Amino acid sequence: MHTLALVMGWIIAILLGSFALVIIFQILIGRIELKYLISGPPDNNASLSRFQFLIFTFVIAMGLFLIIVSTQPQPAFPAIPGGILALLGISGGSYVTAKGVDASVSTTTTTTSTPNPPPLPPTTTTEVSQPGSVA
Amino acid sequence: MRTLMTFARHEIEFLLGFLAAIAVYQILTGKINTRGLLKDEHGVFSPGRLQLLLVTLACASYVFSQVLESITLGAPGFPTLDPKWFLALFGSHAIYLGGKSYSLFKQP
Repeated sequence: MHTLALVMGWIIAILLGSFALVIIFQILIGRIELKYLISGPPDNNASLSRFQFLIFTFVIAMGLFLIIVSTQPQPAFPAIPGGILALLGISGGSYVTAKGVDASVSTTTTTTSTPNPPPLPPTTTTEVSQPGSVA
Repeated sequence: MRTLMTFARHEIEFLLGFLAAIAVYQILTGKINTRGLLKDEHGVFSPGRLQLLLVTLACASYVFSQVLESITLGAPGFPTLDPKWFLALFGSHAIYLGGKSYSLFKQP
């Protein structure tokens, strides 16, 4: 059983390492573009909610990693208090609400700004001369 | 088993460290778009966004410093956050979202 756990551990570690290397390589050569990491539609301006999400994600991920490797006598996964989850929840809730406000306003302006579409220009028919016909 | 643990530790250290470094580097050099981070939908500076950014940075710094302190004291773990922090975050988000809604719905 110990051998099986060891083999599975190595497989998962190598798999994760491969994924990490591929992602890092793609970022370095520019195939994964991070330009719009914290910005988005409709105007591509930076979003404070996304930035907040990024900060909390890094802080909690790094904290979790440090806690795991510092646990004695051997590394162990810690209990995660509700407050830490609430931080991510507040951040995510704010992001969704902000998106909802944006969507609501864009829908309102779309429906009120163009009540009647302008009439289409009259279509003209053009006669196509046949190859053998006399003009 | 010890070799596997060491390998996994260095692997995650490398991945997290690299991702954090690349994000910070690209934000500082402008490759990650931060245009309009502190401006509202009309391109005007927004104090509501500034206060939310400051509260966010303060809260994140507090959590991380508490984690580091717990490791130093030999009892590693996440801190139990004081309700005042949640109150501050809720208030800050309410100001930000309220200002955003007001600014958007007040369009001429």
